[in-house]
Amino acid sequence: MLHLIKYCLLTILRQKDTVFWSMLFPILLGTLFYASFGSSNAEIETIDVAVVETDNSEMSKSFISFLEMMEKDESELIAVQKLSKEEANKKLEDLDITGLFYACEEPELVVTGNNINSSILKSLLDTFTRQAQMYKDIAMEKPQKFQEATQSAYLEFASETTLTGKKVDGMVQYFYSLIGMACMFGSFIGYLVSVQLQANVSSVGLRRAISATSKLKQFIAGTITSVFVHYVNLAILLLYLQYVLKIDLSGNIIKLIGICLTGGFIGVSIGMFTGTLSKLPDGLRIGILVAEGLLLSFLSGLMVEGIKGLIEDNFPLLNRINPAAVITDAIYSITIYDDPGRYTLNIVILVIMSLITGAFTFIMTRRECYDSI
Amino acid sequence: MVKVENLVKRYGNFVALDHLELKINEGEVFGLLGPNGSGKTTAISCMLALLKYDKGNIEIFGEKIKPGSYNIKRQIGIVPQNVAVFEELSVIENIDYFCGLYIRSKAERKKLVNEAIGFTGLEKYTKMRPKQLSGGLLRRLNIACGIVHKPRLVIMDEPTVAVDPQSRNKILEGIQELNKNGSTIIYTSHYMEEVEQICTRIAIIDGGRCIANGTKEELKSMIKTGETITVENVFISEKQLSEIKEIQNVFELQYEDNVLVLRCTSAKHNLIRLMNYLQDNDISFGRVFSELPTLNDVFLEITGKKLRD
Repeated sequence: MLHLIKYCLLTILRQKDTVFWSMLFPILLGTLFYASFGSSNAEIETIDVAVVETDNSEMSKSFISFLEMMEKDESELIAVQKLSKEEANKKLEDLDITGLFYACEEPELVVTGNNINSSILKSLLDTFTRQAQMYKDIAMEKPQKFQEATQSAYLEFASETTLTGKKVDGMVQYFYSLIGMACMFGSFIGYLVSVQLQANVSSVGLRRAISATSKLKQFIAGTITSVFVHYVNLAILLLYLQYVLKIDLSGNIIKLIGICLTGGFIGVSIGMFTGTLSKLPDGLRIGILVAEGLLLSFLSGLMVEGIKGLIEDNFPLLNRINPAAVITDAIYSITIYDDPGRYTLNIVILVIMSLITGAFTFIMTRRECYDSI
Repeated sequence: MVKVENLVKRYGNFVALDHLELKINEGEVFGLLGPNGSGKTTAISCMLALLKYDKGNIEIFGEKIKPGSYNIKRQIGIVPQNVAVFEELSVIENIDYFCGLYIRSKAERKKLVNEAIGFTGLEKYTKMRPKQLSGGLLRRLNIACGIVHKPRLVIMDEPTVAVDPQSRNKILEGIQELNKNGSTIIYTSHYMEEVEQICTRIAIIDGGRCIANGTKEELKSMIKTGETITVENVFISEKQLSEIKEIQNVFELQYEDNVLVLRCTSAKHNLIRLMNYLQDNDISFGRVFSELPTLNDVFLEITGKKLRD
């Protein structure tokens, strides 16, 4: 067994694509997030902005209320000055303010440069515009739901705070989703091991299938090694986030490891299962592998903040069966909500998923005799 | 040593093996000769219990082989048609890995790996990865991985495909040496000259059936052609062609692009009779050569008949 494990380990570690996707890519993405958003603990200076009311429309008033609400928020993200157009333009030219909002039927933004503060202001405008459009749609299509929608929107604008007093930091959420994605990207390791095990997929698999070592033994060695390598990858990622990027992954580290153990296993099994789809061309199977990792991560909120919440509101079952979303939620439950019940539920879901995907994979890869090669 | 009886394998309506019968004795270099798609690889996959079959019986070392027959598999080495090695491992690591699928003892493995490296002449390349090896060296690595555990039975499925002539000769010499060292070899190929060179007994497979079986001499004696005479740069009229066809022992004649090819039954003085005719009729000619029948002739004659049927 040790002989099999040793060479399986070497095979995985020397496969550049596998190492890149399963270990380097999450670290790289984490670094990019960090470079784009900054650390969650970093102090963000209050941004001076002006607002010019150009008409008396409802939209204009709503937008000014929105800006005022953001100004009053304890994060002190922006400081708003209500000015005339001329005054605002002059302040913008003198660089006394970073941006100038025009409150009208279709609110606009003028910024002084292309920097992180400008990005934040653009993001504020985008958020408002998106929500406003949503209100319009709801008012037209489901007026009875309008009040409910405005309440939930308020909750979204207001900085969400749990009973524990811990804040949901949007930036940190990206890193939680990143951990979910990294768990899923163990599929690249599982895929490699799976392909090399099957006689109807690879020539190496063929040679192994007719050897004097049972398929079960080879399967177990491959699974142990790939899961182990993936756990090391995840440990490196967690250490990198916590100690290099200084992302606050506070909460119970033991519980976080529990999430990674189950989540990582699912990632590996999904890859192994994809590797068994012998009738598909190799390129297509790799495409499926990348797509499933990115799609599940997207749905868990990796790329668009708030998507997980949107799914929770409209199709909660998807969040229960998407392993990346369950992993993210499990991390929330220990770092934000401090909810052991929610954590346990997520872990149970992950364990069940692990068993199902593991069993499927074993059934698909255990064959020693084929109908066709 | 290997007994294949009444083996039938179908892929839907396509019959890949049609009541195939083979018997391979210990110590032989047994050639499975047939064109691409004739069923050679399918037969081997069935022998290794890798492929399910519809009917028939396969015994190796006197026992019926099943997927879980690890004691039988331990004594078999396989050199697959496609190079089956790990791209990520070096030459020595690959050989050691595959040896480890048969041999547990680390010390014994080390000895066997070194022997296999020496046998295949890969001493200078042990640290190299497969990607860095030439086609011939890669094939040698493929062989080393298959024979490293010193199996009693070695099955080689077209091991010289896409190999340069020099490497091919080295591989063929190695196979003969393996056989001298006590291994029984099953060698599949569609290269007739290779099979003729190294195999002690040959089965010709076509359409999933064994259409002829025996030593090369036995196979050659099965066909009508005893000698093929070729005359180049010769100009012959229709009338002369008819007369040549009437020469004693000539049973087939081809004349194309000024090249005359005669097939004669086995007899003395076939060439002299033709020369005499050409001289008597004042016919000039270029190069002349006479060849004894090859397995190529055997195969063409046997399968040609079948195709015409």
